[in-house]
Amino acid sequence: MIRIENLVKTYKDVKALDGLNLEVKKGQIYGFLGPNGAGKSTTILSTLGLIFPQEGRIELFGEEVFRDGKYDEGRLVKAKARIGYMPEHATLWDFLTPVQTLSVIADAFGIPKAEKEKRINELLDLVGLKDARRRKVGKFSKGMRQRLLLAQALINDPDLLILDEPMTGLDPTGIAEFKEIIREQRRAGKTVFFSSHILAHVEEVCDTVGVIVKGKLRVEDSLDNIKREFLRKLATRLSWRQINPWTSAVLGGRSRRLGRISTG
Amino acid sequence: MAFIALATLTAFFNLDMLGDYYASWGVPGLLRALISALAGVFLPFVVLPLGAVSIGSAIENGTVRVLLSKPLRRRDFFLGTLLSDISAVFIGATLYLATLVAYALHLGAPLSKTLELGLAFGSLLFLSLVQYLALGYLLSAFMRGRKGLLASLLLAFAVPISVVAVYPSFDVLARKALFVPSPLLQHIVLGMAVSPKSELPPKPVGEILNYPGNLALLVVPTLVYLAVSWLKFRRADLR
Ligand SMILES: Nc1ncnc2c1ncn2[C@@H]1O[C@H](COP(=O)(O)OP(=O)(O)O)[C@@H](O)[C@H]1O
Ligand SMILES: [Mg+2]
Repeated sequence: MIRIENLVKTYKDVKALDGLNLEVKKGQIYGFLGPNGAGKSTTILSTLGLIFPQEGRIELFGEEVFRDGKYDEGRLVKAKARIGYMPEHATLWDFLTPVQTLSVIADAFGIPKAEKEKRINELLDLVGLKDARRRKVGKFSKGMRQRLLLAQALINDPDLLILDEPMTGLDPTGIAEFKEIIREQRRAGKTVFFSSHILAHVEEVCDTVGVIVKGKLRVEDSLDNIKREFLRKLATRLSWRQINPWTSAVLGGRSRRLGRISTG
Repeated sequence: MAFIALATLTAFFNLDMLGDYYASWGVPGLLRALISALAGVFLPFVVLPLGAVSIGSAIENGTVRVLLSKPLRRRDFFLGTLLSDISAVFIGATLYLATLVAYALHLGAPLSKTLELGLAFGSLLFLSLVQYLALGYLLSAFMRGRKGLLASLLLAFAVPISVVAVYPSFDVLARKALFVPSPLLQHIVLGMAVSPKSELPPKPVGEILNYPGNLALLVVPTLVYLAVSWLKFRRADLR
């Protein structure tokens, strides 16, 4: 679904992606893990044509959309029709209601009116915004905005869902509901690619985890294997410094707990 | 929205002053007053920042990332934003003008003359404002956030003032000012053309527009600003 080869992106003097290689296959629930500033958002924005990497290649659904600094906009538009994207930080229109917002988004896909209304109702129900459907988004809490952003990503019933830190800022109930929605996507045979800097977010939902550190993919495996590998390395007494690049990423929020287990 | 409200508000605030002008000099005096005092100065101050933050804020708050993750091209987003900004300018200018024309009629100005001048002035005002809008787009293509906004306000002041300072007399200014892409100067010139009191004899609008290149100067820089903004936006990192 997504294939990235040797992607290089430099912002002025910061090398955000340093020859990144990554593949997300059909039906995978792929957790893209890495510490803050590792290049997760940069990777995601590149797959959508929102920023311009300097080198490399990107394929979406088997079609090359980017090569050596240039996007093929025609192919990109075709691919985007099958993608749902939830950005890391975004505000939509404060003066609209969720129903109006989703209606605008649906129009970008040319979804016919009758189907549109049905779909919007389903989605607001799914993300738990049914009661707030006629309220202005400007008055929404952070969590509610997050839910609306997820709803807009699902409006076209996408084959590929790309989510940038979707669970950051949600409360535990919100996170549980979010994971349920992702599992729902898996049951429907969809592909999900989502990023996080917290291990707990990818647990219980992802079948594959890739760890990005300083613009390179360091590890890619099932979550269980990654954890096992971490413990093995710890057991062979590698210094913290040596394993640090990916442990910090993998362990994220719960490094203290695991640390205690492994040393105890 | 805010722009439209402001435009209407300005028109109302100045009704008193316009009444005086009308009493002294009739319709031309009225138009003279509104052209130089308000439209030329105030509206650009709203429109230039509007252009400067329009696309910039969409990038900052992420709206553009949501929209362009949908099956749209960058061109669609750019044109859509531009069109909605232009219609805001159009509505604002129209409301503004309608208020003034209505007031002139209320004071008993002859209908046909008022409408003719109103329409001519209205179209020039609209073209000038669109040029300011385009200048705002150009600024935002090179400067993000507050910096762009500040620069736009500075520019709104600096360009006309420096030009007025350079030209030795109003007569020269009237002939040459339209070569400078500043709507404020165009308004000054236009104002002089309809004024019976300035050093220049009153001139019909048609003659003003017949100065070589005047109309082109209301349009060509706009197109250039927009073209450069688009070329920049086309390859910009939208984060
Ligand atoms: N507009 C920008 N200008 C300069 N550096 C940037 C810009 N955007 C991101 N970066 C840098 O690129 C690196 C990767 O950022 P990002 O992809 O946002 O990381 P992540 O999403 O994994 O937290 C970071 O070091 C960040 O500081
Ligand atoms: Mg990020």
